Order: sequence, then structure tokens, then C-alpha cells
Amino acid sequence: MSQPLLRIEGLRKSFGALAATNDFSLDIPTGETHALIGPNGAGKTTLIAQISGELRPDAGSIQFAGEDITALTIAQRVERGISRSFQISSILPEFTVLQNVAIAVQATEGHSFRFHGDPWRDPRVQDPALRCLEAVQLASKAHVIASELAHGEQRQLELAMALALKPRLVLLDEPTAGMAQEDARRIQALLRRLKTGLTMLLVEHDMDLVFALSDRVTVMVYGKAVSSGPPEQVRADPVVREAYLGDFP
Amino acid sequence: MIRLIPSTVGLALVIAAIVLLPGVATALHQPFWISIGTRILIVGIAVISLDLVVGHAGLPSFGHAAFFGAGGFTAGILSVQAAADPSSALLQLIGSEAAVSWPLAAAVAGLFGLLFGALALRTRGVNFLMITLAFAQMLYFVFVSLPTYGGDEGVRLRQTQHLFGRDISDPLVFYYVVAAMLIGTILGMRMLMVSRFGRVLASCRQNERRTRFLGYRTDLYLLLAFALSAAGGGLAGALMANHLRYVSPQMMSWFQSGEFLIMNVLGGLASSYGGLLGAAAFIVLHETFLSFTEYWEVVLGIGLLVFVFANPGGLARLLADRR
Repeated sequence: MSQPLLRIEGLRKSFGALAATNDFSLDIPTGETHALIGPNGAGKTTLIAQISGELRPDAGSIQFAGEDITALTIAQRVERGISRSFQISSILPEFTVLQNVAIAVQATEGHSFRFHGDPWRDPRVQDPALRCLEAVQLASKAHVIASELAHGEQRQLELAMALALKPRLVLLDEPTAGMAQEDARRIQALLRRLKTGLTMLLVEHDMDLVFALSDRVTVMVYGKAVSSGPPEQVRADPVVREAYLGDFP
Repeated sequence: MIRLIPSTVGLALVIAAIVLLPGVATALHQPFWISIGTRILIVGIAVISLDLVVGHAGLPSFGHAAFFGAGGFTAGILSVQAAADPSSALLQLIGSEAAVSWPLAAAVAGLFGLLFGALALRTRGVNFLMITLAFAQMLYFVFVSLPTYGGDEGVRLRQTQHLFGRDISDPLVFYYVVAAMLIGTILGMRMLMVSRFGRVLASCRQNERRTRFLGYRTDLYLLLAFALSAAGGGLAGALMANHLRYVSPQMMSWFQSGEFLIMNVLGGLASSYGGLLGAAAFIVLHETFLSFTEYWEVVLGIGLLVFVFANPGGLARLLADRR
């Protein structure tokens, strides 16, 4: 039996009386695109925060490629290959699009306590950065100041930054949040191309995207996984329909 | 955005002005300008080093005077000790040789920077500002209550300063020594701001959380920036001690920290020689208005408001001294 890339066991996190993560367990094998869905306030973003290292769980463990990473820092997790995007676009607004990705590429070189030489004139940084932009179809905007990008393009840039870290697992927190239909379909097509060779955990409200892309789906309600399985099975699960998917096609 | 000239041309102009000032002062029979010029260059070093933290890393430090004073007192105390024990060749050397006392002053201030920074960097924003201010005030009161080194009165430096054995107490020689240190500071800053380290600082300034999720241990980068900035402040303090031949706790007062910040904003945040322009504008305005009215700060305050609203990039932005 091959071990899963990510294994979450009995994870708990409470804020006062609110159990945001309540005995949550999940296995994601290498190469899988796994969607995490659930109503607002189900604890999806809190879970992402614990996997990426921003929040410490109260109990339970997170294993990555066989190693217990529950107590590791954000930087240590990034180094092991976990990168993420944010629900609300999080970019470096004063840098150009290319520079945003370049600073991510630079992070993969080891420490940056280097005081001589401009990384923005270094092809070892620039070339991979440009390739990441090509992968998300943003190369034509490489020299635009990032804050001047349209909302959808900023989401593409976030993807490029996440990819530039050469991740083994990408955590995508609502990659199409706040997007028009048309832009959301563009991101969907993009993710479809990227999913080969990547393991993804995807939090998403756009059900078209979830069912088109994911290999497995987990439904989260009040911090618990109420159902988990292939999209068709989850869609048919009466518990899910009751808890969440009332208006489902 | 108004951009009059490219950054390198601006730098060349600045360096030319620094080099030519003493000649012009002599030709116009204004030797006093050399003394003011020396002060501007020294304060310029302090402000440029402050800019590493405030402008480049985006941390509102309100305690830079502590490092300025720490450097000043390092030079001052060494000089006092040397005067107290003329028989000690070692003390004579340390107390009067700038090649020893200046790096030592920078190192002492840098260590204070490491200590204060490690604690202050547990916070951000206004809390960071208040903690840096609190540390600076603590140091200020320590020195005010140290009778050994003059307390409130401060101490006078009695040693003649040497650099690699050569006397540098002549005002013109000292001016050029300081000018060399300043130009070195500017060039160092220009190297730093485009380096990998500098890019990480700029990234922290824009979005520290994102930077952290790229895998950078942002605390360490910011701490090093803070310590380097403190060391620069300490060097400026030692130069000022040699220039005035006097140090007092006033060097560490929050008023001094505030002036450094004003000069930094006036000169332009996240620049390389903006701090020098800010220092020059502030000190020249100070000298000019002080002869007309005691209430020159009111004039300065209003002028500063108007200028900063009209020109958020500061004086340096006019010379395109950014990235």
C-alpha cells in the first residue's frame, strides 16, 4: 500500500465554544485533485490554515509524505512542498507580474541572505518565473504592475506564484471567488491542464468546477467530514443532500 | 509622477554637489557652510540607514535616535577613558583611532538593534512604533542618569581623532572623510535594495503574509534589516560625536527620532540618497528660518504637509531614485 501524500487524522481546532475543526480526518493520495465543499462557516478555510501552518490544531495530526508536520512552521512546510493560494487575492501590488513570480522562484533557491547581485537580472530566476506565467497564460502581462491587473488575472497570478514554489501539494482556497462566470471557466480550464502532475486540495463553491475537476470530494459541515468519495457518489448521498446540497442539479 | 531625471544622473549630481561644496564655500567666503555640510552628511547617513527599516521594509521605527546616541556614546566613552588613562597605549589607540572606534560604535549600535528588534518585531504597525519608542526612551533615561559620563550634560571628547594614524581634525579633511562614508552608505544601499535580501524586504513591505507563505522567514529578514539600520545609525552617531567633539543624551531623545523620520519622509521613502536630500532640506530650512522666527517649526510643519501631499514620493522621487 502506498502512503497518501497528505494524511489528516482526528484534527480538532476550537475557537471558544465553536469547534471549527471537529475530529476531521482525510487522506489525499499523490496526484489526486480533491475538492472540499461545504456551507459557509463549515471550517474549510480554518482547515487550510492548519494544513499550511498558520494555525496550530488543538489535537490530531497532519502527515505529509509520511512525515508528521503538525508542529512545523509555515516556512518548513513550504520547503517540503506545500504551497497555497488565498481566498482573497494576495499578491505584491507594487511589483510587476513577473517580479511577483520571481520572488517566489527566489524562495526555492534556499535562503535569500544575499546582498549582492540583482535577482531580477538573473536568468535562473527570470526564466522559471516566465515559464510559470506562461503556464497560467499571463505571460503577456509580465511587465504590468500587479495592482493594475483585473481581478481574474490576479487569481491567475496567485496560481503562478503557488506553482513557482515547485509544490507537491497545492492548497487552493476558492480560486474562483468573486469571479464572473466567464473568468471562472477560464480558471477551470487552466486547473484542468495543471492537474496532471499536481496534487491539489481545492476549496470551492462553484459546483460546476468541483464536479468537472475533482477526483474525489469531501463535504464538510460544522467542522466534520459528513461524506467523502467520487463526485457522483457524493452527489447522490442523501446525507449530503440534506445537509447542504438541497438545490442540487 | 514627476520624474525630472534618471536615478543615476541624480546620484551623480548629488555626489558632485557633495564634492564641490567646500570649494564653493571657500570661494564665497562662507567657511561655515563646511560645518553645516558635515552635519548634513552625517545626519544623511542616519536617515538613509533609518530608511532601510521604514522605507524599504515598511516598519515604522520611532527609536532610531537610540542607535545614533549609542554610537555617539561609544565614541565618547572611549575618548573619556583614553583621556583618563594616558599611560594605556591600547586605550589611546581605541580612543583616538577612528578605524577602531567607528566600527566599534556601529557594532554596539547594531547589537542594540538586534536586541530591540528581536523584541519589537513580535508586533507590527503602531505597536511596533510604540515599542521602538519605548526602548529608545529607556536608553535615553539610562544615559541621563549616568553621572560618570556627564548625565544630562553629556561628555566632551578630548582626543584628537586619527584615521589610520593621520590627523582628521581639520574641518575640511573631516568633511571629506564623512563624505566618503556617506557615499559608501548610498552605494551600499543601492546594492542592497536590488539584491535578493532587498527584494525580500520589499516583498514584506507590500504583503508580509504572502511573503511568509512563499516560505520566507520574514522575521529574520526584518531583524537583520533592523540591526543593519541600527549599525548605520551608530556610525552616524560616532561621526557626529567627532564632529561636535561632544555627546549628550539629547542625541537619543524622541525628538531626534522624530526629526529623522520627518527627514526620511521628506527625502523619500524606500530610496537610496533620499535621506540625504531630506536631511539637507530640513537642516537648511532650520538654519534659514531660525534667523527669522523662533517658531520656525510651525512654518516647517505646514510646508511639510503641503509638500508630502503634493509629492508622496519625497524629494528623491523627483530624481527618480527608486528601483
